[in-house]
Amino acid sequence: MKAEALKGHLDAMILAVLAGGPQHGYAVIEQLRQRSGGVFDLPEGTIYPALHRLEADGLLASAWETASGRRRRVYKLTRRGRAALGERRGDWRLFAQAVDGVLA
Amino acid sequence: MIDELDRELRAVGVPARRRRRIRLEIEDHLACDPSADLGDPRALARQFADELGTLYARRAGFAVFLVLVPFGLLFGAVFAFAAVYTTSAPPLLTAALVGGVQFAFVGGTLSLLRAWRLRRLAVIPAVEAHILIRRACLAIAGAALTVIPLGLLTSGYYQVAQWSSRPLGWATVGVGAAAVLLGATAVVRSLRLLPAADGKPADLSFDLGVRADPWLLAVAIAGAVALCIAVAGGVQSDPLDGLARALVDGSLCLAGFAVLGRPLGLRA
Repeated sequence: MKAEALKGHLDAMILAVLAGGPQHGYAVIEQLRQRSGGVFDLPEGTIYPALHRLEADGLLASAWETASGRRRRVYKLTRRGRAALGERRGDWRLFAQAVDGVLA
Repeated sequence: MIDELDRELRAVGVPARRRRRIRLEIEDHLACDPSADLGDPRALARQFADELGTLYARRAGFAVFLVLVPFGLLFGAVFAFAAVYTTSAPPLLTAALVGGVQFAFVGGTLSLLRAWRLRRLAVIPAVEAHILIRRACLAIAGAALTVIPLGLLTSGYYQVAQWSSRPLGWATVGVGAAAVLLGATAVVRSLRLLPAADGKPADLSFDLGVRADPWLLAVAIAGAVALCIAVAGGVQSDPLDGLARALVDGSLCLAGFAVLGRPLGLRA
């Protein structure tokens, strides 16, 4: 699927992946790929600006951890992020139902 | 790839601390998958600037309004409860006080409206970021223009008012100065990293959420302002003076719209 088509939904999908527990950037991309059955195969760099923006917006928090001797930035959902995810899930269900109603 | 990305991030204005963090994250990513496709470094750097620049510009719009609210309330309280003019004030002092507070109010409200309307966008066009910053600057300049004469009035440099609570005057000056400082900090931060995305600017109808010609809206707002001033004049038993001030203020509103409408994103 083209990255352009995912743009409006990337934030919600990142929040949904991180709802399962803290992850670093590479793991978030892997989760997106796996959970979408390989359909969402984004250029991998695009995830980082979104992670930084969501953190600056207060929806994510992050901290350095050490793994295999390397420093790794690990992201987790904040309370606001959890609330935003709930809101976006609701928006998506409405949108999907409406599109389904038209296309079916 | 990492060095090239670092150069591109520097070129678009990403601060050094964030660049270091991005570098470490990308290094970790490549260690997990050495064949990872991270995309074009220039496009990636641009995406960082667009997304973070959008956030900072919008935040400046909200911040300026929020820091000016306490100042506006205190300013109103000073002239309602604490200071009464005993003799006519010098015209320059009055012009700075009245004009400054109006610029601050208009700039702050417009900043809030546009930031709110753009709140759901991950990336806003560069032109919208500039509009937000100009509106915030107008508000800050207006507040600064108000604080200085208010300080002179409170200190007794101009002995034209009788004070029942001078500490309230000083508190207002302090809160106003802090508001100017905090607002300017938010604006400077947003200026360091601006989005570069293409797009056309919106106008006053977008701010207000109504479909109408911006000029028509401006005339309606100027008319409402003039009506309020005329009514206030009538209540103060000086209808003629109220009418004259209503005409002047209504005309100034329209003149402001004509002169500042484009740079402030009020009209095309």
